[in-house]
Order: sequence, then structure tokens, then C-alpha cells
Amino acid sequence: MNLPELLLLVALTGGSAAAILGFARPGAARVRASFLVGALASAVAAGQAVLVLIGMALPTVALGLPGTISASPLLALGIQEDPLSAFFLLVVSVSGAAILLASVGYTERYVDGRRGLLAGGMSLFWVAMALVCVAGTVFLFLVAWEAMTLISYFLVVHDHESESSRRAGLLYLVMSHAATGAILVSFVLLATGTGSTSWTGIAAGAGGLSPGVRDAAFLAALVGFGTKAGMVPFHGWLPEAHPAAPTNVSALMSGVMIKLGLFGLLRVALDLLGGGPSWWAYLVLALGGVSALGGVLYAIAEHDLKRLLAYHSVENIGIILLGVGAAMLFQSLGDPVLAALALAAALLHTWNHALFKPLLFLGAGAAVGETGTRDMERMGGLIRRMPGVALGFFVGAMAISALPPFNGFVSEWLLFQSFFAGFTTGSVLAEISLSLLAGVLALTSGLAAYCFVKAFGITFLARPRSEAAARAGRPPASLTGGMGILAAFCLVLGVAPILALDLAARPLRELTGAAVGSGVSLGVLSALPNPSGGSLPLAPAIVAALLAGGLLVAWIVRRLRRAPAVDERPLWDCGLDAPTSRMEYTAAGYAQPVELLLRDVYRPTERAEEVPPVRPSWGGLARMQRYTVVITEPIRGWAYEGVASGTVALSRAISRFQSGRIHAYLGYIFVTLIGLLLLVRAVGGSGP
Amino acid sequence: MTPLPVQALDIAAAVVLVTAWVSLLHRRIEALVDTYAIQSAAVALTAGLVAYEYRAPDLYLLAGLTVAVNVVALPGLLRRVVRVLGVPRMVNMYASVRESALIGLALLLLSVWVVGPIAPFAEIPSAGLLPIAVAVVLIGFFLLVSRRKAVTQVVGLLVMNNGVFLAGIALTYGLGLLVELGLAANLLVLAIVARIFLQRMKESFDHVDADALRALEG
Repeated sequence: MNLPELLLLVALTGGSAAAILGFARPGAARVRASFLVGALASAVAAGQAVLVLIGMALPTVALGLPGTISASPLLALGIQEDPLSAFFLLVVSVSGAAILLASVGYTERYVDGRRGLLAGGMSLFWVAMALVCVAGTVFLFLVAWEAMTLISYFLVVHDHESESSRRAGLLYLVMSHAATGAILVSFVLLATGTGSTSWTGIAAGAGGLSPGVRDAAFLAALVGFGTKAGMVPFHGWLPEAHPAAPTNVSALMSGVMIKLGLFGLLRVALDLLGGGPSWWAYLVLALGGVSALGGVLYAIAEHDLKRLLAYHSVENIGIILLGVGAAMLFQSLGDPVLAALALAAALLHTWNHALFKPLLFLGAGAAVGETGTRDMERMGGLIRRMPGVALGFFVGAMAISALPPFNGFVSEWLLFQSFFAGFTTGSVLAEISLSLLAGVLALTSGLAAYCFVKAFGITFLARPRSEAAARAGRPPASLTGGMGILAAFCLVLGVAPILALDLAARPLRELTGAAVGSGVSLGVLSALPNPSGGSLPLAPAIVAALLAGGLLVAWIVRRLRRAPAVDERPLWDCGLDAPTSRMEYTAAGYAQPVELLLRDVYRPTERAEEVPPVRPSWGGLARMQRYTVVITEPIRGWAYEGVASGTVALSRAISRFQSGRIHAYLGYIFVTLIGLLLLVRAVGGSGP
Repeated sequence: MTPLPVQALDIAAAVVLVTAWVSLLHRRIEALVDTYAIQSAAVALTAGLVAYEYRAPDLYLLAGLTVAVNVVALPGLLRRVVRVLGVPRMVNMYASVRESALIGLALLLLSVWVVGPIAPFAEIPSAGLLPIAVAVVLIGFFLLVSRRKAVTQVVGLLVMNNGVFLAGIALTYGLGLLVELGLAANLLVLAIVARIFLQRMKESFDHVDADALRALEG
């Protein structure tokens, strides 16, 4: 048993122990211990993943328990950790540790028994996700995948008293199961075609599959994993489930779980099938582009803070898919080096999003928790009530808007690089589509920044917009601590992306076959593919330096110029009264220009109505109008509701079989037996 | 001219089959139990005949065991259950007697149709018992499914067991003593468990109507 093996065992056992601790018996101390043990196990797993990524490996005979006769029992379980697994284990575990840590304080609002369920459930959720990463066989993967889905379902309906939570949970459960069905189809095709159920076996035999089987397996995997990832048009559960779940659960789901959908897609498309024809790539690119743009557009129109973040998850999944699609495209065009570049962008963005999205969700959780509303229009001024949280949210907002010196910038910048480098491929179709998509990506980034000006400004700045916001309490220290860890990662990976690229080097090599930087010692950016012959400048550090320099200059100039004499006067109040929150810019008002510009996309339902005049405090008469705008996704109305209600109807029909009558159950067996006998005779009997 | 024991075997098997079918016709529980006892006796006779014909002394033991358990002990137990627990004497059924009889015949036809073609491959004289055995199993199953009362369901299970036993003899001249002993012991345990179960049902619900489980309906 070597070190990585031991650490993995310790981490998985620790996570399970945390879960048991949480479930066992309520009690504040126990719940806290459960979260802390879970966070610790998660951190151990992160360390283990780093070890694997810098070159250590599990023994090929996977986990062996000491003292057993052979090391096989857990090998039979099918644990296997290749670089791709390790990278996603790292993604899952770093954020997992931070979120579990932050949850210690965040969950204090829940009564003890419910907290215990939440604590145990979240640790178990993490264990399931870690298992999804390190599963080396179809069976273990599917079991872990289903466990992950079911646990997250129960976490989503944690507030099961609320009707909307239950509805969101149902939608999530139905879509997840449909997705698992598609995944199952994909794996069954692969396993029967290659005669193996382990990744290595399938990967070895996949070359011999017929094109039709390969296409079907890929499409099924794209639908199944795309649903989990929140890819348009299979994203419907996401803006429903994330707001319904407790916010730390949303952080874990949105930041971490949906990445495993990408993991599955990479596993099937690039690892097992080893890439495919270029139309696969164009399909992924198209879906990625639609997801990115659609996600951000609906985020802008959304004033529910958690739904807004959920739509941004769709957007970021779209961005990652653009990277994946570009990598597949370059590979199908026979350019592994460019493929590695695009895939590096995708992997990095995956990790980055797993860092800044939980950061944002935790910040939103603090705001929502302390004000008791998810409506941004009723927040405001929170920066004075919770400066630490506001700072963390700000970092997250900068990162997700792809602004330096934070990590989001690095990955999107790499992605642009790969798109522009695509002009050297010589395929006209690829060049046209990549340049179009570069435009889409640019628009998406810009709109994301636009949206987060709103999200941060309306929520945290200016005056409180409601009583609740004015009286908001200070969130617990552990929450700020967890956010601090994530923010620190955002900053470090933004300034020194080499660290992340080094860790991604092995999976990149393995998936694309390109000779990407071979170890920690190499500056990976310079080792990265380099289409134009020159060297790709290590921009983030440079930009950071420029920014710092700019700030320094500004500071010096300010010091040198004598500050003008300060002349304090009352604020101009429009001739009315002391400024109130009603004079503030609203989220709806902020978003309105874009909504107006893109009327044809949004198709909003607008209503302006006269509300009865009230007598304001200054005594005059005011005419007031209320303007409401409702924007719903066109696809949601029919598709998801249809699927959900159809499933419910089907379940009702099936539940009629569950009569609770012993005779009925026996009767089913009897009828089945008779049917089978008839079948045997009709098919197999050759007659006397 | 087939040897006498083989003809006797056929007759004994016929008795097993006919009693199985007749058990579908009874309205009174005691009559049902009596029929089961007769059927078990016929099964024991079959075992004895096979033991004699094929010089398999362990089958004698089996035959004796069958007499002891299936002819004497179990029917006695069932009668006691009926008497002690005050189970209504009438068999309460989902299918009418006429329908049951017709279905029983249909099951017989089915098993002959399905299993008949297979039988000749087992090159043993008594392989002809197989369709009968399967028919008995199916009829027992139907009894299990179509009768309301727990006691009658137990009888259905026992009839099925007789059918399995017969099939075992038909194909292998005894499933092997150990297996058979295990089976018999199993049966006894089953009967005892059923007995306790009925007792509990009686105590808890004041009746032994399996229909009451419908309360589970969601």
C-alpha cells in the first residue's frame, strides 16, 4: 500500500465517518464535528489528487486492505485513479473542503436534527462525488453516480415544508433519472461492444466499435452528462433546484457536482472513445455557445440572487463546453497540440468555476440568510453589515466576469487563444465557426461582467432596500473563513496559473496525446502549444503587475496633489426629502436596457399600472406607477413541465399495481411464470 | 408390458394430480386439508415405488418422512389452527369454483404443452411424471393466488411443494437424501412459522384475512 492509496482510503473513510457522525444523533457539537471531519477528509483527498497529478500513482491493484489475503477485494470494487480522475478529484475536494468548512456556521439557523441530516448528507454527497471520480468500472461509476444524484435530491428537498422545494426536487429527480438512463444506454453500448466494463478495457476496445455504435454512445453520453452539467437545453432543473436547496448545498451542487457531468463527457468522448468525427465537436460547440449566451442572458433578467447564480452556472458550463468542443474539433482535424490548448482552457475553467461559484453562492447564502429574502431588490447596503462576505463576493464576481488578476480571466483568455489559434487549421468551416464562437464568448464575458455589476451593486452597495436588509446580522466566522479559502485560490490561480496548468498537464497529455509540459519544473505556459511560433505571453501575471503599477501611480499622484479642502454640504435630495432607498437604482431598472435591446430573445411580459396614490411624508400628492416585467424561458413551459407531469402520471399508473394485496403480488408472479412458460414453449420448444 | 411398479407409479402420480385439481373445488377448509393429506400420501407412495423399482433405499426413508410430516403432522397442525383460531370454515376465494376448475384444467394443458416436449429427452421411464409435477406446482400456485384466507394459502404452498417433490422424483429418483431432508425440515419450519404468523395476525387484527393488508395501499 503506497501513500496515495493510503490517503485515498483515509479520505473516503473519513468522509463516510463524517456522514455517520452527522446522521447519528443530533447535537450541535456533533454536527460541527461532522462538518469538520468531512472538510478534513476532503482536504486529504485534495492532497492525494495533487500527489497523483505530479506523478505518483495508485498501484494497479487498487486499494488493498492491509491484512487481507490478496489485495483484490477493493480492486473488485473497481477503484482506479488515472490523471483525469485525479484532476476532477482535486476540483471536487478543494471546493468540497471549503464548503464543508463554511457550512459549520452557515447551518446554525437550522434546528439540530435537521442540521445533522444536512451535515451527514453533505459529507456523504462529497464521498459519492469522489467515488464518481475514482471509479474505474462502469458498475462502480453508475452506483456512485446514482448515489450522488439521490443524496443531492434529498439535500435539495431539505426544506421539504415548502411546496416549491418539493416541486424543484421532483423536477431535478426526474431529469436526473432520465439522464442516468441515457448514461446507462451509453455504457451498455460501450460495454457490450468492447466486452469489458472497465475504463481501460473499453478504451482499448473502443477502436473496434462500428461508427454507428460510437455515435450512439457519444450522443447518449452527451444527453446524460449534459443534463447533469446543466447544458442547454437540458438545464431546466438547474435554476429550480439551486434556489430551492440550502445555499451551501447549492454551492456544492453548482460548484462541484455539475462538473462531474463534464467529467463524464470527457471520459466517454475523449478518453474511452478517443475523440470522434468533427460533427461531434461542432455539436458540442453549438450547445456550448447556446448555453453560454443563454445562461448569461437569463441571468441578467433574473433578480432572485440564487437563480441568477444558477443561470451563471449554465453560462460557465457553456464556456467549458466551448473549450471541450474546440479540443474535439482540433483533435478531429489532427492537431493534438491545439487540442491540448483548448482542453487546458476547459479544464482550468472547470476548476476555476468550481472555486468562484461556491464563493458566490456562499456569499449569496449569507445575504439571503441574514435578510430572509432571495429578492435582490430587497437587499442593499449589506457591505456595511458583512464586509468580509462582501469582499469575498466581490472577488467571486471579478473572477466570474473574467477580470484579472483572478482565475476566471486566465481560463477564458486561454480559450480565446485557442479559438484564434484555430485559424491555422486550414479548415474553412472550423475557422468560420471558431471566429463566430469567439464573438459569442466575448459577448458572454461582457454580459457576465454587466450582470455582476448588478448582482454586487444592488445586493451589497447603497442603502438597505428593506427593513430586513437594514437589520441583517453578521454571518458566522466559519462562513467567511470558507469564503476566504476559495477567494485565496481564485487569486493565486489568477496570478500564478502555472500551478493549475502543471496539475492539468498529465490529464491533458493523456487525453490529447500532445506533449504538454512534463512536470512541475517546466513553466507550462511556455510548454503549451504555440501555434504562431512566438511565445504566448504569461499575461495574467503581467496584467496583475500592470494593475498594481497603475494603482501605485494613482496613489502617488494623489499623494503629490494636495487634497482639496473638503467642503461638506447636505446631499442634494431632488428637492424632496432625505434620500431613501426608493431613489436607488433598481435591479430591474439596471437590466432594462438589455432587456429592451433583446426583446425578441426575451419576449417579456411587461405591465405598467397605476397604483393608488399615497401621501408621501412631505405632504404632496404623488402619482405612482408600478412596472413589472416577467421573463420566462420559452423551453421550460412545455418541455420540462411535460416531462415532469408525464412521469407523475406514469408513476400513478404504476402505483396502482402496488395494491398492498398479497394476492395481487402473488398473482403478478403467477402471471409472469405462466407468461414465461408460454414464451419458452413458443420460442424454444422444438416439439415432440 | 411395463413392469407393475411403473404402472403403479403412473397411478400414484395421477392421484397426486387429481387431488391437486380437486383441491380447487373445495369450499370447506377441512375438506381441503384432507385432500392435501391424501395427495401427500400419494406422493409418499410414489417415492416408495421409485425406491422399490430402482433399489434406492434412502428413498424409503424419504417416503416415511413424507408420511410423517406431510400426511400426519402438517394436516393435523392445520386442523388445529382452524379449530383453535376459529377461522371461518368456508374457503373464501376470488375465483368461483367453476372458474377455478376450468383454470386448473387449463394449467394442466399448459404444462403438458410446455413440458411434454422436454420429457422424452430425460431417458427414464418415470420422466412422464414431469408434466404432472409441473401442473401440480402451477395448480398449487393458483390456489395460493386465488384464495383469500391465510390458511388456504398455506395449503396452496404445500401443494406446490408436493409438486416440486414429485418433479424431483421424476427426474432424479430423489433429489438426494440430504436435499430432501433439508426440504422436509424447511417445510416443517415453514408450517411452524405460518402457525405463529397466523397466531400473531389473530391477536393483532382479530382475524386472519390477508385481504386486510390492503390498508397498505398508497
